[in-house]
Amino acid sequence: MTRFQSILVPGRGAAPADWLATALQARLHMLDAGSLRHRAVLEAVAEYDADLVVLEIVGATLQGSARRVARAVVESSEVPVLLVQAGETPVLPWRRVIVPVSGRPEGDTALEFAAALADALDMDVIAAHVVDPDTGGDGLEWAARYADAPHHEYPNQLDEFVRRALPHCSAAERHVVREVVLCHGEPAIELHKLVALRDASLLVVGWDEHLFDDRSVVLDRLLSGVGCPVMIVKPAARLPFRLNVGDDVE
Amino acid sequence: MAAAPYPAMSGAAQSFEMEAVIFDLDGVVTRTADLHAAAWKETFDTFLERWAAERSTPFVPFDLATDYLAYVDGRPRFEGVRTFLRARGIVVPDMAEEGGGDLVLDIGERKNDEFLRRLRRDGVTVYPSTVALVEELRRHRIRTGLVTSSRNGREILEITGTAHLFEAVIDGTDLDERTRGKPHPDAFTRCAELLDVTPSHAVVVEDAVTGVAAARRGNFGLVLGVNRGDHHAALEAHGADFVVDDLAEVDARSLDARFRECREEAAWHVEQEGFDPVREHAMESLFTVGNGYVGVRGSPDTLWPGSQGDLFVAGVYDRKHVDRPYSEHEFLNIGGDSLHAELVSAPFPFRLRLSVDDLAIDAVGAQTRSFRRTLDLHTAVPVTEMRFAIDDARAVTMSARRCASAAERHLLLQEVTIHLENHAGTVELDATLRDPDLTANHPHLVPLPARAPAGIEVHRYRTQASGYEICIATRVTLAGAGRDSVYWQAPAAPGKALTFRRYVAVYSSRDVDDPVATAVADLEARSWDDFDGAWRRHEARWAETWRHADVRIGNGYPTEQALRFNSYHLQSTAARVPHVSIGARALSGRAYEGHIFWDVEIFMLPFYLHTDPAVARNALMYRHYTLDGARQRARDFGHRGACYAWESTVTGEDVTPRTIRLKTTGREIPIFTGTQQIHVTADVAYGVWRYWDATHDHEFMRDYGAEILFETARFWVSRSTRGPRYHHIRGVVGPDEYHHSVNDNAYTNWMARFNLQQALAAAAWMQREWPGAWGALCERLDLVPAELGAWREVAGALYCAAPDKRGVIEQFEGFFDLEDYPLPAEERLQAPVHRLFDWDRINRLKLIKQADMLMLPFLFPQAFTDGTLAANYDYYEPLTDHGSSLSPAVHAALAARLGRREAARRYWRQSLWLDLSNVMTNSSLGVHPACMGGTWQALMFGFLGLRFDETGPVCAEDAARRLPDPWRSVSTRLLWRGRSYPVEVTR
Repeated sequence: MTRFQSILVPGRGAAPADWLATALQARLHMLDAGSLRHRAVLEAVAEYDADLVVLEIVGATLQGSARRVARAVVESSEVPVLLVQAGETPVLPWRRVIVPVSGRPEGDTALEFAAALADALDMDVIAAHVVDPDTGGDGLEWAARYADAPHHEYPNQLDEFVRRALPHCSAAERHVVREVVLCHGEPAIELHKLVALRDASLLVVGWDEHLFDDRSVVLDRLLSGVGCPVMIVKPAARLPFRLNVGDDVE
Repeated sequence: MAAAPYPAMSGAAQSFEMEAVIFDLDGVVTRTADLHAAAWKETFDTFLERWAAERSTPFVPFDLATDYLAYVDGRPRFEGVRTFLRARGIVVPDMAEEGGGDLVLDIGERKNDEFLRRLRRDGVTVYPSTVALVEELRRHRIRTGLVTSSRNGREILEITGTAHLFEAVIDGTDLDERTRGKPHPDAFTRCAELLDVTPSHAVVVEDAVTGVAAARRGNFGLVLGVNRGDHHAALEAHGADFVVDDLAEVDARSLDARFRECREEAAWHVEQEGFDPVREHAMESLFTVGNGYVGVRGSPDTLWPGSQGDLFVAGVYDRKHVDRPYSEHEFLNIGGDSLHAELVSAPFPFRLRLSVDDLAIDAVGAQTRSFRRTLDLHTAVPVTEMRFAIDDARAVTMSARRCASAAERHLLLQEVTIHLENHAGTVELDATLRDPDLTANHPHLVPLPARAPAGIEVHRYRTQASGYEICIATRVTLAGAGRDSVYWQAPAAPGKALTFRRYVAVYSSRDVDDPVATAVADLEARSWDDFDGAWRRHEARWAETWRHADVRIGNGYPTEQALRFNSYHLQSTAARVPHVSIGARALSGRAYEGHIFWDVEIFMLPFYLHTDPAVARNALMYRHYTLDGARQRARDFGHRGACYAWESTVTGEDVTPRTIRLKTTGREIPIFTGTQQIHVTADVAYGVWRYWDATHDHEFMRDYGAEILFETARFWVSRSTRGPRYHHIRGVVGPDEYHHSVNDNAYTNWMARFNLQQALAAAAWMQREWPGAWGALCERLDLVPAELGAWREVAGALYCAAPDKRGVIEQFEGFFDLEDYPLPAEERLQAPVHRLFDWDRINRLKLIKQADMLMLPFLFPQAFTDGTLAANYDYYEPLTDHGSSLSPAVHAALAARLGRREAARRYWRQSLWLDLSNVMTNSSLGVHPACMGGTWQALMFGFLGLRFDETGPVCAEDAARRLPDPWRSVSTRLLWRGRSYPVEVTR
């Protein structure tokens, strides 16, 4: 039994949903188009105990009610949302999933989710750390720094991205992550290039608190021209932890 | 709410270290516990009676003796309702569910109504002893706060007339998602914030076990339990540092004395609470045990899938291979291939699988209720305590300790105690060391058959390419069982703990001809009667170690703690055998593949020189052992003498890759350090001289050190080129690795000149003191007098840049002409990754990775005036991004000498806490021993301005003024030329 047993499709049907339900042996729940209101979708998520919501978006970006629904589902129910662009013919079955990682919790969660999905669907996972030179230090999250000798630190740091995201996997199980790549450039552009280069079927990204902000352009840049469905996953709460040292450390 | 001003104590001011005391209300300040208990009983009994009647089940009333203390006391009201109902098997829907909160809300509100009714009817009394203590504290200007889960807290304070006693109050009305009630520490830490004190500087006084647990979690400096009933032991078990029956037993002075004791004791421990898989690899590094021969990462005894529970054996390396990578994600190393390219990881030697009543339990399982790991720095023993709840009726605790014996370097010890708290059951322990995922986890090892006698499990491995054999053998017993086995199934019950003990012996073919036979013989010779004796020998050795490794900081417990943590790792990883040295991450992680760098001689050696000179000698013996490799390397470059490898392992050959290639893009990035960072050769010579100077170990110099000095001197003569006026060293990388192919790097040239000078001095000394040995060495090295003349000539004419008119010494030829680079603050100590891609551009910028020219006043303080140092510090410091963990300590030392107190403190703290606070976010890959050694040097030679003369250690005249706030003093003992000297600086 996989962790994906119930898939909810509000609004118009989305192409990969049928295939996903079959491949995952999951129940597929369709809501009529009039139900694309976030409260109704949230109620349906609870009613059907959905593990995944598939949402079709029209146009290059996520706007209007679809944005509100996606936001409500991810932020309130914490169920992942799969965004599929209308009119796009999916290449099925999915073979490869790309996950941007940075050492932050959202990247960890996305990679962990992608690994589980890949295991269920017999896909490969590629983790990608995209370094944005234009944001300088701002673009470097706390866990994504590299130090000292490149040939000693950088590969290990990349490896650590995988290990920390998949803490419950053995070394053998972690091999579902076939590649960890380091890219250099504007993140959305680099990810799009990687999707095309690797012929990826899916991009899984971790949610952060600004992802759905109206002023945030990250999601729109990501969706615009990506060429494959995009899954958004919310990080799980961190476990209580404390290192009792010093006065103000930790 | 602000408390009324209080008259201060007259007379001489008492100096207190505790800055604040935070009190619980119910049971500590006020005698409301009886009112609460009665209200709870009235409310619950009413509910339970109705509940039983509706279901035709027996009515079991609320028990004040058991139910109140276990489920309600100290908890926020609704949480208390929920906890009690669950304990009675009454399913309580989540508050967020529709209608789910009604039952809890209803009972909670009824209880509150009943409590208020009784409060207003009967009033409430206060404990006069508590009020007296609070008043005394206030007179001493010690801040006081109050925390209670009661939503009526402020009303009760008003009714009792005690509100004026507390400067900050947190009651139930202040609790929310961000300030959670007990047992979360949030309310206490919030109160500390309001009082403007850090928790470790404050005391918490509590009578409830949940409150005690909350304060312990909050890392408060002292947790005082008040035993109002019969739960003295429970208060201690949940974290009270000490327990009194009434606060009349303490006063401000005695409380402060206890606080100091606790702080002092806490400074000998590093404690982790909770288990977070994301942070676990960093914790595994921090909690590594080692003895210089073996290092074992601090994974939980019950390994979890993501554990990286490596065992490293010093000196055992194997070829790096693309099919057997540790971490070949994205990067391919090209060049640097060697039979000994990578430190080998072996299986975890403390591995356990534990199950109770057929249910497997481990640190990350759903049954885990608490996880605490404490490293006792005194004894170098980490203790892990875990508590599991199989279900509501079955709780299990496990306590495990381990060590890598400091007294017997091939021996590891482990002891595990299992206690079934509240039920009888069956405990199953599988202590086999067989790793089911050997190929994936330890790809360098091939398992080999090995015969083992009964009761001993033997694992024999051979490294894939280098062909070393490792044997890990183990014996396990259940105390009292009288036999050995790695599999145990035993009945257990409350009050009847099971204790398992394990010996592990580790040998490699680098040490003995037959590792299996030696390991088996080792274990067979051991008696379980001597198990405690083996622990005592280990602890005794550490007690001896701390005589010189410990540094006391007056009024600086956190600093003491961090310094001890660093010393612990430096000693754990210390070179205990002559043919190995210390890798960049010691034996605590796979990063840097166990390679040996200049870190040892320049950053770690001084610590060992003055705390454990035998280690320093061993580290230098490694350089003598690898001298042939260095000679070969010089020949490969077309030079004479010996050129040490920038990165070395077993033979002295260089294992630095020439290039790295990114798999995704195919882009290649050259690595210049292997061929150009030749200053390591002079660094080794510097280490030889410094050892000789500090120990007067003349036999070492005669038999080994002089040969190193002579061969390295030969190399510099051969490597330098003669110009019209000077000799030059061209095409090098200095400590600042952002610049390659530079000429006349100030650090390299200075160190090479020093190398030549010391070779000449050693030659003169040998001719004078050991003419026979001198003649033999000259013959063996084919050394003729004319060659000494060449050394003298180059030493006298090697270009060493003088200060310019600003007093600044140019880092290398043409540095001043490079393009300016405005270094953003956020890039300091956090070098952005695009440094990797922009290597060629960075070569043209005034951007420095780490102290380079500034290394010279760090190593040769007497050679630079304060003025010259200031000019160079002011010029180079703003250009440095500290892309190496080695850099901050150097800057701290120099800033301290210059009286730049804030900069010195900031840099030193970055260095001091580098691993404990994971400053560079890479501690998961292993700890940073060179940074630890640099931190120690910055304290000794920077803040204390320490130097040595014929009388021993002498501190700078202004050392007291250099001490950072709030230190009052620094004291330690140091070794110098065979004698131990006290060193003390008091402000």
